[in-house]
Amino acid sequence: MADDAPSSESLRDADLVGRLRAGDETAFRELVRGMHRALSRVALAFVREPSAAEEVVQETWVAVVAQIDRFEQRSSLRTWIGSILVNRAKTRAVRDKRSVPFSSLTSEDGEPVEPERFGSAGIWSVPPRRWDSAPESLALRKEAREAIERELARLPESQRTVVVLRDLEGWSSEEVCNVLGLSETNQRVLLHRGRMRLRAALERYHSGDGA
Amino acid sequence: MYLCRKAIGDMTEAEEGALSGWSRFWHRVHMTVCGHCRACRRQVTEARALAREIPPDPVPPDVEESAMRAFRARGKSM
Repeated sequence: MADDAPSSESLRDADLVGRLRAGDETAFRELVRGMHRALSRVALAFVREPSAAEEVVQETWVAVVAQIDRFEQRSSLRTWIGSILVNRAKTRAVRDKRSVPFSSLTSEDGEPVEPERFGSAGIWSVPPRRWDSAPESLALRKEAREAIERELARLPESQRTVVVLRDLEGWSSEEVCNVLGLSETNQRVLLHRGRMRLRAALERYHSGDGA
Repeated sequence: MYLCRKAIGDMTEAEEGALSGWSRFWHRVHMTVCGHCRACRRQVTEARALAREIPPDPVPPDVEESAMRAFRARGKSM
């Protein structure tokens, strides 16, 4: 019986969609603001140019408004909006002759952890440097966060997109795979590599090596 | 042998519940006994927590305005 119960996410979606259909401006503005980082990141992964990505996001919202009455909740609202955006971004990328299938970006980067940190047997030869992550001052925490932010900006496009959606925006793996057209395995590989690079950046920051 | 390099490589799969059978078992055993790999996992968790604190960029005013205009126009046509 419990399996048939709607998830809290689908209940939230149903409530939000109801408010949007009823013309609740506050709900729509919150949705636009709440999804902006995710949508602009996904758009950038396809069109590469920030100004083009912004236009794609803009067109997406207009399309969402036009189609909201047709949303049948067969996927999450995020997946539905993300799919509208991806269709538009792909069309735009083809028009701008920048078309790169997202799945082709998945082999952009090599080993998640520097291979030289392991001995030939596969045991750490240079183990992770430890640091005291107990109470830090707000200023130090901000510095560490900025090191992470810089590394995030340096990640290959595909890793950055998956890490932003999963770890910053809290999307599920299913939502990410559906919107980006990735297999579960590829999605996990990108997520793993991205997370390991963020860890390495934090390690460098704590070692004073800069990041 | 299931060693550190493999355990680190499997870390995200383990967290996502994607390891099956013996891999899941050996991963769990390895993480129990290996302090370096546990430290690595803690550091990944810390990096993710910091990443979550990155403030989102504000919505460019023209994007928000055009979305709100479309939304209001829909309301009028209903």
